[in-house]
Amino acid sequence: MKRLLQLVTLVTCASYTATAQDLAYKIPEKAFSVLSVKSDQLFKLYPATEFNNSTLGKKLLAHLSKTTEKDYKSIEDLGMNLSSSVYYYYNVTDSINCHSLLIPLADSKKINALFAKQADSIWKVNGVNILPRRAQKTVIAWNDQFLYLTYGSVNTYFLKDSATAVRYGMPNFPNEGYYYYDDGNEAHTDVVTPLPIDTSATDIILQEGVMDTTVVEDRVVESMPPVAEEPSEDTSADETAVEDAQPYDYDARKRMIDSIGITWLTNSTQRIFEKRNTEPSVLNNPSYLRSADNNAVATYWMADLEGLYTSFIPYKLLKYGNMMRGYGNVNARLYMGKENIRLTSEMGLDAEKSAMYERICDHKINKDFLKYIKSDSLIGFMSYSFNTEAYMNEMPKLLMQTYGGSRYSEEMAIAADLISVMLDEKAIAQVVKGDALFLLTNLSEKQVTYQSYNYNEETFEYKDTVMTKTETLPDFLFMLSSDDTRLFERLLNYGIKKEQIALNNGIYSITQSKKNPFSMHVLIKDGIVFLGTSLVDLTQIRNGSFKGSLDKQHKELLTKNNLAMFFSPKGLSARMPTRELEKNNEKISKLLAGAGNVYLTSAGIKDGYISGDLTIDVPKGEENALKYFLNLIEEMDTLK
Amino acid sequence: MFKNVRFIIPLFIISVLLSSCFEIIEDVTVKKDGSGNMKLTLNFSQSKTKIGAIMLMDSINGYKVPSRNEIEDQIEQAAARLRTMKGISNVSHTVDFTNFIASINFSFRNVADVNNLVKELLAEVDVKTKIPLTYRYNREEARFSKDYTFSPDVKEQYNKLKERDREVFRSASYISILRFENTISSFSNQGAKMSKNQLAIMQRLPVADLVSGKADISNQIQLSK
Repeated sequence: MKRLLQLVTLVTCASYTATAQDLAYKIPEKAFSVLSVKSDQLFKLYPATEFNNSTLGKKLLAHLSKTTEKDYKSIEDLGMNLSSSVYYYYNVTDSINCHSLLIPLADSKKINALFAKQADSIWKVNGVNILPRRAQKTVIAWNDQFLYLTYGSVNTYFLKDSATAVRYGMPNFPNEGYYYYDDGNEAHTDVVTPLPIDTSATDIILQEGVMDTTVVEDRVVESMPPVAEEPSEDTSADETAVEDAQPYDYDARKRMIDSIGITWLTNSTQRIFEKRNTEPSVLNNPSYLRSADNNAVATYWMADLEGLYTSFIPYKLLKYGNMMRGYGNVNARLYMGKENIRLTSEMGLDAEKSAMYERICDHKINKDFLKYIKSDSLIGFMSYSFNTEAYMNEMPKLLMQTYGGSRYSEEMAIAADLISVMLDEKAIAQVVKGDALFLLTNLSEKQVTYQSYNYNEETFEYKDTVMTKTETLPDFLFMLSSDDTRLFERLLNYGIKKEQIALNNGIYSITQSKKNPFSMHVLIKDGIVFLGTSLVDLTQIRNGSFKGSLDKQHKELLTKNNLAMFFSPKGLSARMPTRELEKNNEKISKLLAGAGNVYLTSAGIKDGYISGDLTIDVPKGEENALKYFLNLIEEMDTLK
Repeated sequence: MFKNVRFIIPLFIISVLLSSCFEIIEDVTVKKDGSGNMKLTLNFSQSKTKIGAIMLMDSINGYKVPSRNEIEDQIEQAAARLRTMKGISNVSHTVDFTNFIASINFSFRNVADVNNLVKELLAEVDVKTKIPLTYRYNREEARFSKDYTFSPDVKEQYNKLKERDREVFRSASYISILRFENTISSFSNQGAKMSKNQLAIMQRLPVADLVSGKADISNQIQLSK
């Protein structure tokens, strides 16, 4: 709940006037990931006044009032612009990794009031209020337009390089990375520790309270770390550390690193405020632009996976192969409408990978499966369709792509060839064509035996006794396409020989045992292997008298996607035996009966992107997705 | 050797939380001289469908589901450890993977050996609570006592459980049987029941009552001399 409140706080951190400029241009061009939350969309779905009066809103305001010792009556009192986007981004450089938050403001006076207590530590430059907090490794800054919060930790290996270390006034220590410091003795907030860092800007920050803005105006630019645009190639070159005469005072070193970190953060904060919308930003990145959608409530984007993998995994590991080869950026978008909530996610692939996946995904589900679906009474289904032959053919290539450029490239090439030679892709694809459908058709009560004890009243000696009880078990039907069913038949016949399977009029029944409470039956017909719990259904399928009733929505889900999943909580609740319902918590049952259908789909490759969609229907009677979702959370919270 | 108990504990938690029922049977026979036999049985048979399904999975809710071999190994190791303990002998065990019933059987030279055993086992799994259950036998006075100290920590943990999970403990039963060579002349716990031949005493209660502190399983039993 607390985390949710924090999330909602973050989301609601955006306010009224629509005049505020979108802040995306402030995000560095090479950001690692960006999350944006469109507050205007959210507050359209859930107006601020309504939100303030909701249980969740009240809880949130009470929580905020308590933590800030202020009295918040409305979400607007926070001073944030509720009609603009909030951005979070993560930036990785060779020297520092930062998490940053950009929140548009409607009324900066409210922020001034919020930080009034720290007024002495706030430093004003060109209308920007900057509050560095060394102990928290955080800088908070704001002007009239927006608030910027950044948290960063210095990559200690960056300062391991002796030349860099000297540049930042750091003594050089061998065995960098293994130092520890005693938390118990160190007060991080002790700011006035004289440190041997020879940069004026750093000193200024260290001596909080005696800051002189004029010095900062003339800040020494060379104290800035080379940011990702110019990664320092030689970082790892100097492995042998220069022996330093200074003693290993790890605490002092830690403080030094923190000071350097906060200096960098403060400097980069200033740059964010100075940055104009004509300067290069993440908006120059086409893949980011692809992910940005004004209709989405929230969007997430992560940079190229392969590039990141190669830039962060040490060469030592990379020589064994690049798992991420060919995989590009990732994005996700969340839409909340009147009818459903939809989360769509994509991953970019390079041309080679894309072509491979296209061949693998080039397979449609067996149309004959559709005859055996009764949509009106279905609880859920799961289907997949891939081209087994293409997969078998591509697998060695996938292997080669991953490990091909590595030290073992020759071995991998031999292995890949061996696999190709050994496997008869066509024959395998004949047995398992690559499409299957699992239907959850019903829930039914079955008698199950169990062991307990009978006690003799005379002596209390006890004997094992078999008892029965009623259990609710799912009924399902699984279908698999196969052009060559001989292997399945042979397996089943082997079962008959071992007396585990009985054959009756073409239907194989797997013997029910103590271990296996399911009664399962197998039928092979028209290139489909059926496995199901209902003998009636299988008999009808065998006789050709099975009457399916497929609705349009289910048909589309199954035929247009390589992967599809559907689940109807309402269907489940309707089929739940009353005994089970009584046993269950009433609220859970109510929740289940009121919940909307859930769909999960993946339609393969499109424009070089592989995608997946999760959709949850908003049940009738609910105004919109956000309200439904928040009500659901409220209800969940009251569940015991 | 009990290092891997952490491994078994998740299985137990999973079984308990996802299953509907289980039984714990503690069957102790005390001879005149204070030596005797103990059989502990854990019966998950009523929940075998669910456990069977869980065992098919690699992990559930982030817990690794141990394989059949791993469980057998653990129990085997536990039995081996018991064999090395002072005063404990004739250790045997059975595990039934069809019905999910496990039992362990051993003889003790003195009831104090059992207290010791519980203490050592708890210490090995880092349970820093007092021993909740101790046995005492006074040979001269022919008096057997079972002392149960309720731990409020356990209740606190129990109260933290969701209503639905508490239900599991409500339907689970704890059965304690104490057998003697002499007839029982009196016993203090009103919740217990004496056998017709007056040589055994049994108490059956929901595990929930035990962990919530509602029920007491302490008993002072006076035997005829």
